Amino acid sequence: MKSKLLCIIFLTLAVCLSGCEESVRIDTVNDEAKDVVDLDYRDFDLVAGQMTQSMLASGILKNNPVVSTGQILNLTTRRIDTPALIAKIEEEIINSGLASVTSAVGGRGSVDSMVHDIREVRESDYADEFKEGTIAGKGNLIAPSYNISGRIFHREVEFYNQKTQYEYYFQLMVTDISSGLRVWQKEVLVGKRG
Amino acid sequence: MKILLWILFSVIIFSVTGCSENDKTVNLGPGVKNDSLTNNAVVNSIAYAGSALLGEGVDVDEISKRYNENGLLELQVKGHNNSQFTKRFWYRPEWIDADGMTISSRTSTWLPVSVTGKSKYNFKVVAPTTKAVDVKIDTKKWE
Repeated sequence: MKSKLLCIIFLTLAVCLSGCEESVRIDTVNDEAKDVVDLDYRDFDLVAGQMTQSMLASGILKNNPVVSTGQILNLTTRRIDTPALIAKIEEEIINSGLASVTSAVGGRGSVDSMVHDIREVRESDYADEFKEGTIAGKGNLIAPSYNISGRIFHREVEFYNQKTQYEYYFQLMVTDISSGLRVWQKEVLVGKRG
Repeated sequence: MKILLWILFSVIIFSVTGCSENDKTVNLGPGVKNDSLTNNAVVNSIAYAGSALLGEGVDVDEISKRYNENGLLELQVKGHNNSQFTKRFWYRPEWIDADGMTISSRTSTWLPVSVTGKSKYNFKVVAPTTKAVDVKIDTKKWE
C-alpha cells in the first residue's frame, strides 16, 4: 500500500516537473545562443541583409522601377519557406522608396489574388452591387520592368572527426524584363559544420 | 677579428633591410614570404605569444562617407588587424534620419568580417533609404 502511494507521488511529481519545462524567449536583436546546423532566423536575416545591401549599392533601382518576384527554387532537402525569405527583401525594396513591388504578377506567395478577383467581379452579374466607378478599371495595372528570381541549394560534405560540413547557397538575380538582360546577381553562402 | 664583426654586421643589416616591404599592395603573411631575421618560425612563435599576451585586436583607420547615384548614404570602414591571429567579428549598422530617429531596416542585422593576422580589412554599408543621413556601427565578438 505504502509503495503504491509512493509510486503515485513519484509519477505525479515527474509529470509536474516535465510539464514545467521552462521556455525562453529569444532575444532576436542580440541572440547570444550558439549556431545551429540547420538554417535559423539569423541566417535568413543575414542573407536578406547582404542581398539588400548589394542590390541597393548596385544602383539598378533607378527611376522608381516596378519589381515583381518570380520563382525562387528550393533545391535543398530542407523545407524552406522561400516566400518568407523574399518577403524580407521585398520589404526593404518598398521601404527604400527607390522602387515599387507589384502584387499583380509573380511567383508563389507574391501575388495578391484580390487584384484579379475584383476584375472578375467587374464582368459578373453582381458588379452593379458596387458603387459605380469604384471597381478597378481596365488598363490600370502597371507591368513590372524588373523581376527577381533565384534558387537555394545545399551541399553536405563529410568533414574530418565525423563531422559534416553544410553549405547553403542563396542565389538571387534581377532581370530587366524588356531586354531579358540580367542586371544584378548575388550569391550568399552560409556554411556550417557540426 | 674586426673584419669578422664588420661582415656579421653587414649581413644583419642586409637581412633586415632586405625584408623591408616597399610595396604595401600585396601583404605577404607569415609562411608565405621568405624567412628572415624578423620573420621565421622562432620569431613568429614569440610574436604570436606576445600578441596573445597583449590582447591585440582590430583598429579602424579610415571612415569615408558618400551618397551614391541613388542618393543613398554609403559608409566605408577601413582598418587593420594588430594581432598575429585571424580576427573575426560582427558589425551592425544603425541608420539615423534627419530628425535623429533610428530607421528600422533588415539591413541593420549582424554581418560578419574576418581579417587575417597583421592584415587590412574593409567593409561597406549602404543606407536602406534616402532618408538616412547618418549611421552608427556596432560591433561584437564572433564567438
